[in-house]
Amino acid sequence: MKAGKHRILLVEDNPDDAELALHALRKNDVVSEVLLARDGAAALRLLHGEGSADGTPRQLPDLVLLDLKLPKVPGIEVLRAIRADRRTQLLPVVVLTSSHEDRDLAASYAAGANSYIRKPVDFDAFVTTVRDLGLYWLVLNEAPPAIGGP
Amino acid sequence: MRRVSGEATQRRTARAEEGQAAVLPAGLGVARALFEDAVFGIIQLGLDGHVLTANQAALQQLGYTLDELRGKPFAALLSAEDQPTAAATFDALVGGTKKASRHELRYRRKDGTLGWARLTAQLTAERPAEGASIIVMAEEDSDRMRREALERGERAALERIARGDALNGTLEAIAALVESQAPGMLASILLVDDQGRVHVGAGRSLPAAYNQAVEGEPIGPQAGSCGTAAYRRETVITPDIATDPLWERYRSVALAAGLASSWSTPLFASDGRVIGTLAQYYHLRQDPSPRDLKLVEAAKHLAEIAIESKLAYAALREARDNLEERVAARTTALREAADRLQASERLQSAAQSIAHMGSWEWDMATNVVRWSDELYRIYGLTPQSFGATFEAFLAQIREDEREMVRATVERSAATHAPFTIVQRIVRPSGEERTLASNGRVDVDAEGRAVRMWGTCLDITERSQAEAALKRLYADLERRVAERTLQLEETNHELEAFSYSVSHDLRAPLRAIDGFSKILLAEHEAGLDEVGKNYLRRVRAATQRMDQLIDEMLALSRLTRGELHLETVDLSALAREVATDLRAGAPARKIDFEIAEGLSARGDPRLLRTVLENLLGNAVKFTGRHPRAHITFGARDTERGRAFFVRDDGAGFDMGYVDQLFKPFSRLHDQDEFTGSGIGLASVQRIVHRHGGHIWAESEPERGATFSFTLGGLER
Repeated sequence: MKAGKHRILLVEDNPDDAELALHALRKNDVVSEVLLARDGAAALRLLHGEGSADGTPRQLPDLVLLDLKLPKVPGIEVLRAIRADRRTQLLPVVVLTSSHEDRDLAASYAAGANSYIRKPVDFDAFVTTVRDLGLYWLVLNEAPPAIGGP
Repeated sequence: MRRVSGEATQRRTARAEEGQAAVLPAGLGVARALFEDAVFGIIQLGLDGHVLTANQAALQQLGYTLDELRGKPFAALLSAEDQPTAAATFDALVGGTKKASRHELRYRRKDGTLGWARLTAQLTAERPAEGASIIVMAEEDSDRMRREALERGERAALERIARGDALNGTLEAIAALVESQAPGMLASILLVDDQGRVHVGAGRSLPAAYNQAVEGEPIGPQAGSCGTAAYRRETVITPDIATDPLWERYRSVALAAGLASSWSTPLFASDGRVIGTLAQYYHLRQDPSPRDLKLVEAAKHLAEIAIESKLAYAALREARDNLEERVAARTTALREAADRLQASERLQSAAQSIAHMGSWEWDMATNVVRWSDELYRIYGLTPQSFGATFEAFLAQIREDEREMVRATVERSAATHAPFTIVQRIVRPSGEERTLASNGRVDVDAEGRAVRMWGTCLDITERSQAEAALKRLYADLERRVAERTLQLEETNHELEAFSYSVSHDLRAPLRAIDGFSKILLAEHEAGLDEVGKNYLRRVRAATQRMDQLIDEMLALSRLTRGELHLETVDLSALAREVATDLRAGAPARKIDFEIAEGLSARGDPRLLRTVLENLLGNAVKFTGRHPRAHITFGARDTERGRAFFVRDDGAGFDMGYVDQLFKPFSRLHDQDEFTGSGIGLASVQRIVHRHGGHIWAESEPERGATFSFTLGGLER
């Protein structure tokens, strides 16, 4: 894998958080494209192509950064839907959330999250975290073999 | 008798010389001698019936001197009853129709007493004429007299006995009777008691001193005539008291009383016991005459009857008293038993009334039903309004249950098995009552059911109460469920709130911090130093708020979730925490003194939080001292066994102790000691969740001691 060729789907409803995440990701040279979904339903449309104009599936991202607290379809449901779909069942999903609650952690892993990262309030730490995330999942980690799709 | 006859002889001689010659013609020597010496009385009467003269025997019999007698009408010498006979005889003699006559008559003595005499009267001449007189010869009938006196005395004594007169009076009468039969004799009767002591029963003729000496003396082999007779159970005769060895003990007193001879015979009760003695005394030494002994025999029986009847009477009275006493005792016992029975019945009735329980029995042969009072009350009936038969009973049952009751009873009668049923009855007032009844069957020798009996409990109120209770339980359960639901909702809300705090409060913080950072990093050119400084402070504030949020959430988590109780080695836990703390402040000089063997049942995670906070505080508040001494131990307090953490640090003013455990309250400047004010609030919450107490004692710059209990879970 080479830098600059990776796509990330950021599922985040908070524009501030989205902006800060994008800001941090921009400083990260492993990411070439960041897709932004502002709610769970939009995220699933992007991934599974439901409701798209031509009905054909888009190119899947290499990593999903998923917030739990989302309008319309909550993050945990999005995660379950990802794991329930054959096309996305192996897609790395990192839960990136403000929540420090045990139950969220447990529910996330139970639903098939690959990682659970708490968003630090400290922006410097946040930047570091996002960078490390990209580095790990997109560069160091060997992705599973693609299933289906082009 | 010798003495008396002796005196009589002397007197007779004297009187003869005095006056006989004046009446009787002189020269009639033989006649005179005959007249004077006659052993029977001779009285010469004039034809006018007056006494002319009398011989000594007559004078002595009558108790008059010749002078006194002379001139008295003869009739005055007779008993009133015999005077007509005497008058008729006299008239016949004087009238010449009779020459002589013989009569047995009672004569009257000077002293008024009567005596029997056989009288022979005859004219001295062929015909009554001048100078003629009547000669009356009176032969005293002493046997008859004595017999009569004896009979009279006996009758009197028996009358006394029959009347129940005092024993002494009766015995005196008997003694007098004995004495009357033998002039010169002194009679005495002694009583012998169960202890073998004698008591004077009759002894009026004996000197008082003698009676006193005898009174209370014991019977014995040598106890005078009486004591010895009682002892020997046979008659004892002492002709000469002065020499008889039996009398040694009483000799002097007897002689002083002028007693010379004595004989005594024991008196027996019909059962053979000696109950007394009868004795005769004489002033002269002599042997008893056969007559004396005969007399003793006769009087003895009387005395025995008197004494025994008296004893029997006393025994009877005692028996009667005993009987009365026993009757009284038995009556009392019976009355008490009756009272107890009545009380018991009242109690049973009261108990039945209180319990609303009645009892019943049904004599199946006669078809008679008997109910207790309470059962009548339960049925709202009276003995007058209840037919007291099985059918009458059935009629009280609610119509739709009647058959069930009948079937139950009939089955029990057939099988002899006890039964229990609940049936409803209708009172005459129309009110329904619910009764729980049971019954048992008595079976006769042939195996037939003869009787059914049991109890009946009015459970109307109980049924109602049970129904009410059921409703109450249902209501309670519903309310508990509601409340649980509310609590669950509140809990959910709380959780949602914490979740929201955790999630949503951080987002703006992150934005503030993030954009401040971006401003500082990428838009530095547009900011002067003051502006940069402010942005740095904005960032510091967001960090601080983030920390507060964390701690607040941690605090709220403490009140949620279950306690996982296990035995926690607090000493080990404290050592671990101390190690961590020392590592966090390597430059500090801290002495930890941790007592060994402290443990408690509690949630290990939460107890760790407690120790982390308390020991952490101790480390923190000793920070400005060159050396810190921190102790963890246990001690007994008025709240029981308590653990404590003591330091020698800054301490605090006890005036603010109330603020100590409130969340977010602080007693020190942030500049002085950093902190959020959440730690002790958390510790208190944990201690309370374990059912314990926490308190603190301190003085500024003298250190602080925090003590806590764990609701009896401490060891």
